[in-house]
Amino acid sequence: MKKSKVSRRDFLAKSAMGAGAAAALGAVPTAAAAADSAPGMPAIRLADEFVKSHSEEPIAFEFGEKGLSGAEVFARACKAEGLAALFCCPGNYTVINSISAAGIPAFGGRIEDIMCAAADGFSRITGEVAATSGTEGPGFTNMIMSIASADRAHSPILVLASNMAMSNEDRIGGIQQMYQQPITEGIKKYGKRITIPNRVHEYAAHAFRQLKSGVPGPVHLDFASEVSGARFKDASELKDFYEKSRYRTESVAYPAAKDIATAVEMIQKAERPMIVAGQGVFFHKGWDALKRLADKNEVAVVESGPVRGHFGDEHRLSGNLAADALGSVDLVIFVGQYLMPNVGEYRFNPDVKAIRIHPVPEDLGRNWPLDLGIVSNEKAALEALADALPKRQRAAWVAELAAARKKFEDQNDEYYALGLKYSQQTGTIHPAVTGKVMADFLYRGSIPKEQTTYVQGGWTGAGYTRRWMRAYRPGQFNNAPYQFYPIGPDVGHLLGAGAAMQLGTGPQKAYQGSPVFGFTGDAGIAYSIMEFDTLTKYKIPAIMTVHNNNAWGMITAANTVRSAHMYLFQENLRYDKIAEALGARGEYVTTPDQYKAALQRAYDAAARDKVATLINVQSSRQFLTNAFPPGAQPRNIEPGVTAYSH
Amino acid sequence: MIRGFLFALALGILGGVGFRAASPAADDRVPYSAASVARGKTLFLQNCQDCHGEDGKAQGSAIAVAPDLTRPEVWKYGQTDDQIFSNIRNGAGDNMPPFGPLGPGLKDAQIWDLVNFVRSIGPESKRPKS
Repeated sequence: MKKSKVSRRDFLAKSAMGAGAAAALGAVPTAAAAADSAPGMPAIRLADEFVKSHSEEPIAFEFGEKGLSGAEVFARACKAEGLAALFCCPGNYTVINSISAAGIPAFGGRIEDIMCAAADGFSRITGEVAATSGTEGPGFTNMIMSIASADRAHSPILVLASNMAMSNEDRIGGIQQMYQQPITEGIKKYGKRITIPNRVHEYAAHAFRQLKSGVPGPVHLDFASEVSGARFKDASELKDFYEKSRYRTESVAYPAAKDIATAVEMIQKAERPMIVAGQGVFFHKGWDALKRLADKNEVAVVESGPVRGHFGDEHRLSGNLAADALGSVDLVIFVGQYLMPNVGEYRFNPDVKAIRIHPVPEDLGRNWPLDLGIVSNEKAALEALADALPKRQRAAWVAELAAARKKFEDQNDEYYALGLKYSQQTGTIHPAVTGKVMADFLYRGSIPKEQTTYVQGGWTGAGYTRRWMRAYRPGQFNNAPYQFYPIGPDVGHLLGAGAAMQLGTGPQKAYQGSPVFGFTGDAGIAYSIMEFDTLTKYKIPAIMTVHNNNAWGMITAANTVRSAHMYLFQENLRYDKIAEALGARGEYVTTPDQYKAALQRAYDAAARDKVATLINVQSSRQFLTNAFPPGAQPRNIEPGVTAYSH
Repeated sequence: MIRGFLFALALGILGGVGFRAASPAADDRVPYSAASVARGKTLFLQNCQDCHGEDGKAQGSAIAVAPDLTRPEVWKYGQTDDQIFSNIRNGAGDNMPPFGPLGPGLKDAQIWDLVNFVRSIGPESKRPKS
């Protein structure tokens, strides 16, 4: 191997030639790598070209002497629509190159599926459209898990993938050819293989109309090479080349006056009404109206869905921690609950009166019988209700909510005490302790509790940590595996969250630059650990705790001795060392005190040097069994902080 | 390491023993009735369907390999009412979690409603007369 002759001083001098955004990225070897590289061995470092590529000015794609390619026409439309970010792996070259050249923030990673999850994670906590892209067959098929997950979360992500030339259809010539659209059937809101070059702008319009209207969801476009590579001298060569103000509308559905009157009557008749505020309240920015309504008439609010924080956990009317109060609710109002639970999956009385507010009528009445369905944009309906409802106090209901919250917190303390005992007995860390230590650090220490955006991944450990992690402002909490429950793409979601914080997108603007935190399991980390390279490359200050219990979470399904080996990993694996090998920091802890100290070191490195850290928390799979009650199933019910399936 | 693990496991098992509850008092029992079965169904949907399925047949397997509650002959931890009650309240084996004080906190009367619901979806020959 040829030894590097680039000293740290030379590297810094060279990288100083970069300018603008390059300076923000900081052309230095990663902190961990710089400290650990052995004498004579080359240090992990960013390529000079990486730094330079961020110093080039964006291109405003306009028709000139050279005209525009199909890919450039598409990138122009994306820029005009405010596409917030692109997360991709190479492939679909002309399109991703054009999007990046247009000045849309782009992040290149290692695994298509995880970059797709990053787009989903970005979109969930910002409410903005993010794109993802990969190469034709393998890159695209690698994305499927995260496309499906985004579909269940109703995230407005734009899935792009190059595809074979039309001239090669049905020939299987060359490599990587396949038909994409049938594969995303059932896991997208809209999709199209674009085959007619002069309709590329028209289909960009189709895509953004779907992404920005009604109920959000993934849109999948694949480009025949004849489309992305076509050239157009001027706009007259393109079909339906309108600007966005003419191809879609910002108008939304407003509630009918009679529906609001009926809803007001039902709310007034109820003693213990509760709003289930799903992700639609966040995506359509209805949080101020929601608070106004709740405060005015003392209607309780419980959050559910893939993103939380639009009402917050500490509000006196919050039902997020008030599990025992859910059974008392006599009127439930679903607002922006895009994926409806079945009766029983939410802890309300199955006979509870129910109102649902939804942007389109087609889904009203699905899964849960309704007494009133209202077609309306969430924010518009919440504002109308807040205006129409009288002031009212519901002292008994507020007291019941407070008592239920206390009971929940008391049970958390019980679980923590048990977890601490189990941790001391085993020399490992119980997930109830992990949750408590992390929550103390983020919400009860020196960091403002509203600051940190958190990604909740994992499975068995998450059953405990969800109980501890909080949301105090919109977009603070991403319930990463929500509903589809893919194990693994959690580092992707963390990358998406970190990119949103770095860019200060949407409601994350107030906390721009802050480190992000996440939690995953040892099964999950294997799927996405390589993106620590991406986190490090883009200097995203992210801290991921890995609950390492040496097994798949579903070890509990191994019902014979003979089958157990299939569920087990090697014990005490050092995921922290992998992170270090990728230029990030690694920590390995086996006691609560070690974990607490590791969190502080990780935060300091993140805040100071923009370095990512993986904290490998050694736990035990025995905590999943009834030998350590409550085992794998602490008291978790939905909706609220412990929800994950709806 | 193996030694340490076995020690830890032993501690865990001993530690767990203290949470096992005695059999329920006979006078806590809720008689089998349509009303009890209806209450039990609600509790079942709220607490049990993730693993045992909406109909108790455990045909989905994403979360756990759970027994079909309509077929007592495949149950591993007993078929009597008291055994079903205990399994729900305190857990059973390594993997059936407790739903009593250390689980979702169901009251004994609620657990009896669940027992009655489980009976209602099982073979008629094992169903109490209401």
